[in-house]
Amino acid sequence: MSVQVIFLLAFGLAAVWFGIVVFRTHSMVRSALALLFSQTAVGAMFLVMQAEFLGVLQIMMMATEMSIMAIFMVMFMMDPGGLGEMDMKHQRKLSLWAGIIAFGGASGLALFGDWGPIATQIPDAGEQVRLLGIELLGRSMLIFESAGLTILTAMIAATSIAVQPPHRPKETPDKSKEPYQVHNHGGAA
Amino acid sequence: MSSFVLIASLIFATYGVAVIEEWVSTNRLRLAGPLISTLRLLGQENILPRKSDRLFFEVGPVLLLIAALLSLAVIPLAPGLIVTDLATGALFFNAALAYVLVAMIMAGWGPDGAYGMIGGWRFLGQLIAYAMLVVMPITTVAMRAESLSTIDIVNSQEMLWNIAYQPLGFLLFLFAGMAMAFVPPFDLPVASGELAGGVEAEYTGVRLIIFRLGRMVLILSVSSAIVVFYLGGWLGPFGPDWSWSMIKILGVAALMLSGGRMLPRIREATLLAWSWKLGIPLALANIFLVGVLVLVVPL
Amino acid sequence: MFGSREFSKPNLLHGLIGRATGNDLRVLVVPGPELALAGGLDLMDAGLRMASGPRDANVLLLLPPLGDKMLNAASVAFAQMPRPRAIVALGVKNISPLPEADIYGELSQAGLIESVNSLRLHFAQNSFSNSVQSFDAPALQSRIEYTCPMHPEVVSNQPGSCPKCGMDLVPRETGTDTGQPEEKSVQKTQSSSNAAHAHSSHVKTAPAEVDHGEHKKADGESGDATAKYTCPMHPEVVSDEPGSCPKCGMFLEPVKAESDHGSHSHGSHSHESESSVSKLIGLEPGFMSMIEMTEGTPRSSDGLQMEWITVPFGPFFPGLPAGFGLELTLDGDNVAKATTSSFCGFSDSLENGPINAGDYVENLQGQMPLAPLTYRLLACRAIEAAAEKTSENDNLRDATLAQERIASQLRWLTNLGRQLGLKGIERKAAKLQLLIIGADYEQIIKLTPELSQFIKKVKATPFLRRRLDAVGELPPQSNWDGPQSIENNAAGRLVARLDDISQSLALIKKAGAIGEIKLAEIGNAAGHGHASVDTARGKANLHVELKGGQVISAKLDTPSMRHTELVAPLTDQQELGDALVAIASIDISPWEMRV
Repeated sequence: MSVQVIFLLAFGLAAVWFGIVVFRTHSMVRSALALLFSQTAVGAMFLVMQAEFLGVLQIMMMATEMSIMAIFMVMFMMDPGGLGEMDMKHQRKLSLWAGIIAFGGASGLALFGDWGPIATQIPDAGEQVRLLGIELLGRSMLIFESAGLTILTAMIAATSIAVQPPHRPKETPDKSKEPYQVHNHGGAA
Repeated sequence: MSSFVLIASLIFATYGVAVIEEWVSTNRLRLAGPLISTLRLLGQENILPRKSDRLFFEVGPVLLLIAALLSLAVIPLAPGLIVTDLATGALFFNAALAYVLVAMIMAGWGPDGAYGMIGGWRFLGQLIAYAMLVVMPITTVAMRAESLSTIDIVNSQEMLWNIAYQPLGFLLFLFAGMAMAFVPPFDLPVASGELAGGVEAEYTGVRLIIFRLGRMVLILSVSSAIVVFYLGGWLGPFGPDWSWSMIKILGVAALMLSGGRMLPRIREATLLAWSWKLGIPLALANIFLVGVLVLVVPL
Repeated sequence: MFGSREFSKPNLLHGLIGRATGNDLRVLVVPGPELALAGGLDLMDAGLRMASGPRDANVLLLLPPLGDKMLNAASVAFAQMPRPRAIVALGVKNISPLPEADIYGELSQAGLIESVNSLRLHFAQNSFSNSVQSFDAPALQSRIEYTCPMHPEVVSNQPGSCPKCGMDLVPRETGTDTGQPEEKSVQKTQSSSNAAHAHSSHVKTAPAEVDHGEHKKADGESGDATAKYTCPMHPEVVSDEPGSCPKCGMFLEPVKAESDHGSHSHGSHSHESESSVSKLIGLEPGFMSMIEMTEGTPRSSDGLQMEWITVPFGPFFPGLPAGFGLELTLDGDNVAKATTSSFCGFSDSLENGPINAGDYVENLQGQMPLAPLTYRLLACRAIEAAAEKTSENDNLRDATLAQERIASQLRWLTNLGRQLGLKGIERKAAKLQLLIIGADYEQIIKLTPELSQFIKKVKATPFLRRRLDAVGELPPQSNWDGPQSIENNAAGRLVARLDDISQSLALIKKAGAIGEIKLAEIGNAAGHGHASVDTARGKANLHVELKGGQVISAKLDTPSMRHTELVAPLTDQQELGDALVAIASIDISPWEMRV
């Protein structure tokens, strides 16, 4: 077993371990950050497999994404300090089955899929970046551009839904604001 | 030998940044200042707040230091004076510093203090403001160098430094870099006047030493990135290469640390508005402009 | 030794550390840095650096006047300061419940410098010691008691087993909700720099720290007595303690009868999701839905549902007036509710019966250390009005008033600089303030150009106006009578205060001298009198009733009392930073608030 394989195994196990921690912990933030470190470990696996650009990109993107997820979890789920002892497992039967099926599918794909000829020569990192760029602006351009555009559209749509129009009256009367509201609109008839 | 020079100069530079930091914040130059402060903190009680998330509390400062050190790994002080010359160096720099955010969230959350928690989450808001303004100017720098390697990037500025070739990118990156290193006026997560120290508020003793050291290395790392990307790295008219790197790095650090003190701390809302409404369009324009320049006047 | 760290055999390194500590002093000033400035102390010059909170401090500097409430808060702050630490008391002797001060000194710059020198020596010698005493602030004391996990009614002072079921008793702190671990983020209070707040009884955010004279259950607000835990899968499993379900091993989730407002909302979600969700068909009980979870919890006006926490700012918060207790309920980082209190308020009730007019003047002056002469003048005027005397040197008195106004505005600028991170303004304003307070007429005239230049510099600070533009708009018809500004926002009030400095300078110049404020001879006069004075913060009014040359009743109305009512509308739904700047912009003095 080469050093590379050992490291690959180690990071793989770390990824799985952090994945388990996501559900074992009772703190929202810990759960989110465990997912982050699981993804970081996957990024490290890319690095071990000499896919430098992919690895670095994965490590970079996940830090921000998972942190943003964490803040949304905290804001809405209300488990400050993680002492709420929340249970991270829900709809256990459904998720169990979904997990088994997904795992089976993924391992089936890994074992029986046609992965093409095994590359004997790994291009150096600089070359990889160049090839990736050419790929992105060649065969895969349409896919990436349409995916990007879709995400952009979704972002704009989500933002415009979230923004409350400034002049629309509020649907629920807000008690805390009452002292500053003007009450006598119509005046005496 | 070269690795010894590298480590020695990085330690020296970090100490230099700490001296400058104390100088601008107290208006007094004390060369032994950081040493005295470190000694004081070394003797200070290490307080563990009650009900803290112990794991996060301990890991936060360490992760900050590690992230900052990793980002320094791709910064060349001179040809050959670099920890590792990655082909994706410029991207790696950004990837490592993304974990500063994670460290801040952990350090803010861990001690279970409201000030720290708000400070940590504030930094997330700050990241949403500066993140694009870090990546997009790096893109144009890489476009000119036709490489993400930091060594190649410095070499590409042989004829003309990037500060002259793409001044807009420099300004955006300086602004974003200051926000990334949370130096004033972007010190929202550790503000004294607004959060009584914020993320730092609950740390004492050795943990605080690690946190502050991490922050100094972070400032050093950001200023060296500015030097590498825009100020021609080690390039200078005479003398040893590394000395030019050092002079420029400490100069940029002094500029970052002192410049911000003249300005009131920025509002979170203003920071986001400026970054997205002004900064990102400018960064896009910069990409376009530099793209044309690279094709028309490749220097 | 209350301030040393325990070390049985301090070695050479410890000596070095002690010396370093003595050369790197971070000071927490009680009542606050404004008092140091008003007392003419230059802390920077003495080699002290301001700490941003108790955790950052190694010196607790005590200055007069110190009330009980302030000392209590200071004792909490001292308990939070990491060792090695020291207490320096200038001009105060009795500082209980704090331990004896390490250094006593007189209240003057010379006394301060002398104290700092002995402090250096003290740290060099006593940073580490083998006889260390622990200090517990009385306000923080809590007792550990033991209770049975199954029978909460069983409470014992000693560990042991439950007489009912034989289970081992588990320890808990009195007053803590065993069932409300979520209190946690609020509990931050304690660990954070302003925990000093925790002792005031209305703050229920830090139960572990609240004075436990009263038993928990007597506290009507804590609905937590009803807190129970249940298994999400087996609703029949109910426990009073968190733990795991005996049937499936899942963690028990809290159920509570009713969510209370704001400060408690941490825990309130779970029961909500629990009860309402289980009604939904097709979903397992315990399924988390954000909508269900937030149903019924307080909702801010932006319609976004978020976690609310209550955070105390003060009395030693660096960005706010010292002694001012501010408690913000935060919705994310927006302010949903603000309550104010004072740690050093005045009392005008004349508890000890009628007092001599002269004593009353001294008394009022002493209660207002930030504007002593202003309130002295107010008292004199009111008494003179009651005695129907007129004083002859009104012009000179106004000049004295103007001098104090300038000092007050400069202190406000120091605070603003500290709050916004403008070190230059903070330092310069503090320096000018020190020059102004002791100055006579000639010195003030000599200072005029420097002051005008400083005013110009502040006005020209880049982005400062922009920073303040967006915050601090007062609601229409609000009761504001501080410096009148053209723009109704914090920037406008900054300009108004700067202009006030210029106008006060002009007034002093016109008066030609600065007069002493002496009470006119009133003899055995009787009657009602009313007077008002334009302080730096607004109009202060005083009604007095005289009888036989004695003040038998007095009613003081200060600008800060009126302006504290503006805090709620000013901060409502503002981002935290903006809210703090808005509060600073109306310049409330806690000394001018009632206790």
